[in-house]
Amino acid sequence: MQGNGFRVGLTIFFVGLCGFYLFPSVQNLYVGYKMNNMAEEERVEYEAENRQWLDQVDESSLNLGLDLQGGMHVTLEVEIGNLLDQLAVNKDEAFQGALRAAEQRAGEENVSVVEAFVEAFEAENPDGRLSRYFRNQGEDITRRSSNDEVQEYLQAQADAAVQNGIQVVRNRVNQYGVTEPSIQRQGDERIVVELPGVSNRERVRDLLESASQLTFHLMSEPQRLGESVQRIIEHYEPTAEDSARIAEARAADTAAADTSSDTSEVTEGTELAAASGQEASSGSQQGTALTEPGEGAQTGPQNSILAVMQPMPGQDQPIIGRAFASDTSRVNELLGDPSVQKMFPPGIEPMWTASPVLTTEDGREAFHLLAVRAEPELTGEVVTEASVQFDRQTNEPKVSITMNSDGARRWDRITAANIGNRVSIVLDDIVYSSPNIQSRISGGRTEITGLESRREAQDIVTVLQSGRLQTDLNIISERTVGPSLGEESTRAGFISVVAGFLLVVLFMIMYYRTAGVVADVALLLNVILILGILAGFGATLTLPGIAGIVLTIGMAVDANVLIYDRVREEQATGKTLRAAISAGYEQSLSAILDANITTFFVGVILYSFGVGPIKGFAVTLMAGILASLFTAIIVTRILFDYLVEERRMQVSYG
Amino acid sequence: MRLFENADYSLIPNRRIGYIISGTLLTISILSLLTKGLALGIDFRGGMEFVVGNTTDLNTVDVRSALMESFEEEPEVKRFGDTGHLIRVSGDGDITMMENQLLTALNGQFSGRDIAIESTNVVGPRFAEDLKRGAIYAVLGALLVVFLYIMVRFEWRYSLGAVAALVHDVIITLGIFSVLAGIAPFSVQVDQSLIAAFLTIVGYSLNDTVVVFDRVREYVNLFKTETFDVIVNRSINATLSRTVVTSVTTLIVVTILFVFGGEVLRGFSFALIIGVIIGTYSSIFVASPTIVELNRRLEKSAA
Repeated sequence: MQGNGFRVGLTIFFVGLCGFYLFPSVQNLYVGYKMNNMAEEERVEYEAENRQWLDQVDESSLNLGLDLQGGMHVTLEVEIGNLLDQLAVNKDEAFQGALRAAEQRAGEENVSVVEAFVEAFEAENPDGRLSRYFRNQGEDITRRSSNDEVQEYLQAQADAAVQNGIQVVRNRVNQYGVTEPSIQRQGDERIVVELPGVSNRERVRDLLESASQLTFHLMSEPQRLGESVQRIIEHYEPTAEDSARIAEARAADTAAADTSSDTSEVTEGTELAAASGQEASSGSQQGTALTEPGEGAQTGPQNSILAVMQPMPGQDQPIIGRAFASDTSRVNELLGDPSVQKMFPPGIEPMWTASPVLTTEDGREAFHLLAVRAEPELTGEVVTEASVQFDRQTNEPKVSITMNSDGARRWDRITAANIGNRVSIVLDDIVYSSPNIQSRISGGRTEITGLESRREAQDIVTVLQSGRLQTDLNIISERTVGPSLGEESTRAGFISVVAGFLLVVLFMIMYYRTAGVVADVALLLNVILILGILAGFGATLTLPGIAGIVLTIGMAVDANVLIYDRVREEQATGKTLRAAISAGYEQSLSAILDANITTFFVGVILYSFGVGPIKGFAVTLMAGILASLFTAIIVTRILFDYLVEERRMQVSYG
Repeated sequence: MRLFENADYSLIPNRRIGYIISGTLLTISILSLLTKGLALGIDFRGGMEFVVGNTTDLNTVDVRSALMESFEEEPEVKRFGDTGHLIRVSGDGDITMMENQLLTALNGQFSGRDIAIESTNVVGPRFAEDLKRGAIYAVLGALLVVFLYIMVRFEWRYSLGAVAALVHDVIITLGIFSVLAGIAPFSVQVDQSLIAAFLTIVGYSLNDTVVVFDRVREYVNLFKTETFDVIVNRSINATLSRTVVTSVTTLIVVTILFVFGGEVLRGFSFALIIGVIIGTYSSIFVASPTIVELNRRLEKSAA
């Protein structure tokens, strides 16, 4: 058995590794089964007690694709052509023609709209300069800029628009309150959104496709807001019928209290000053120390609004309250009630902040809910330029905004009338910044100071820059699977795996006897390894993926069949069992490797060109090839060596 | 149990029979592909598909006629497993509007059964164009990579033999899908998952071919006095038992997928069943004869 020590070690290592990665999935299955058998109340309590652990187990489990668990898969496209149209000035025939040609070509070939546009323009106007359409001082595009420079600038703008689109989608999805959404960029202009377990397709479509626009709003007066919040809390004071909900609310309260020790103190105090005016002194920063989330909920675990939101009255800022990301959709629901909406001061709408105001140690993020005047004062088109700058004395980051003359005139009036009040920068009903107006700002040059970090400044600039252009998102593909259909598919897939496995196992034993049993052990290990590889790489198991596993079960025995047939041939030439086994493994190795490597290449190609569930199929196919190579060449050899050399068994190859 | 042990069939000498079978199948396939064409799924054509539930007991014809009034173009209606019906509408428009139109028409006609949409699949025309391009690249890319790999590991004659067999397999499988379009009781539309099936067939057929070629390579060095024809024939016979056993186990699992894998995988697993049969056949009757013929040409031109 020389050399087997290494093989045994390798096998134990890989199997152990797969076991490690699969353990959470097994735990998850077990917990799901256990909770299914519990009574409703018992389950709620159990969930509350083990919430963190359950989340953790669920997160590290093997992911099921949307076609198995049900959900919505949407591919959005950012309209880059529209963006170019908005960016350009002095548009003439040549511009329109090139844009049309570019949109046409981008639809047929694999080029970006920007690239196609530049090429189309240059083809039609060999001496034409694109800079005449896209002059922009802030971006250093002058009349002399070359077409390459313009292309670079346009590509950067398109890129920012897609990034901005992703941000917008993320905010909207968060508002909708989906668990574990996935939002990813695909290629140049596309965004793939995966929402497990969504049932209201229509709302999601509206949510994803609606146009977004940057606006500036004034906010509610804090005093009047305090009264409104008080009335809303009273509205949700429980009546006798609500007592059933107590248990649930208490659970939420416990969870909130768990995190209370981890909260960090965050100060919020950004200020708005005229660029020409004095630099903001850091002493005037209005830092607001946050209290711990458990405290506010003390008064009433029974009150449904207090269970999910901590009110923050008595501030000098128009903050309604604070809630964790997971609770925001519930808060929206409670405040969206028509009778509750009336309790706000007239013309006031609640909006969430874009960035979290605090993050607990276990990664939960809380956001402020601000009271903003629904009617915008200004829209984003007036912004001509926005950039991050640093204060010359304190070196603190600040955001510099320039407005056009129309915007500047209105801005002058607004700031003059609202010194000391806050103004919020809103994109898509999300507040990105709400600085305090320090002085009247004439001339349109504005600065936001008192920012936390360079990153915060950059985020605001990104919103200002891309938000002034309207980013249109179009659904170009949608796949929805209802939960019952997903369940049906899961069941069908499971039956196929089990039935396929059993039949192949029986066939191998029938055909190869003892050696067949060894191959079957390898096959079982094979399936475990595939699942382990999938879990380890965080891959998603889809229905085509299950089909890939079933197929692998049939094809994986091939390597063993090759070896066994070779062993039989060697035995027929009169070799002893040991010699025949050794020769069989050696002689068949090249065929096994060549056959599997070519198939693996095919899997790689399938992976790189396929989309969605097909990728899942390619992944299992590749994982299956690796696993079957390992089990057929290494694991079965260990078993045969053990049986023949240690146990002196006359292994039958049928 | 032993099958085809010590097999000694005259396969290469009788390869003309294979040529006749393959020639006939290829002719039928190409004719059907040219005249009838393929039923493209919405992945490659664009359009909308809806699966409606709670209609299991309804007749497909009734469902179609209920929809005919409210849609300009007659939608395709098919039974969809145990769930209900699959309704396919071409063209693109507002998804929500289409859904509502569909539900109003169905619930109006068959009142009191709460027909609901179970799943949707919508592909815009531009996106479909992209998917089609990706699929063509994938199949061509796979053939190219296979050609190159075999050229490196064996030599160019073997590459040509392997790729000839693969092209043969893909054309005939496509041909069968073309012939069956509109006849088969399950979906034989060409979509993303079918491309995955084709590439799997490519992989499987190749697997078979490589095993035979590997043996040829070995025997060429072992039996230096024999003619190439005899060596190839002996290689096929020596690997015949393995070829059959692997085909059987693979056929077992793809048949199970076809029967138990549910409606979504039916077309996919059907393509695999055909592919496994044709792939096994082609490694014996297409790939091996190709290298024999190429060898003859070479020897003739050398002489």
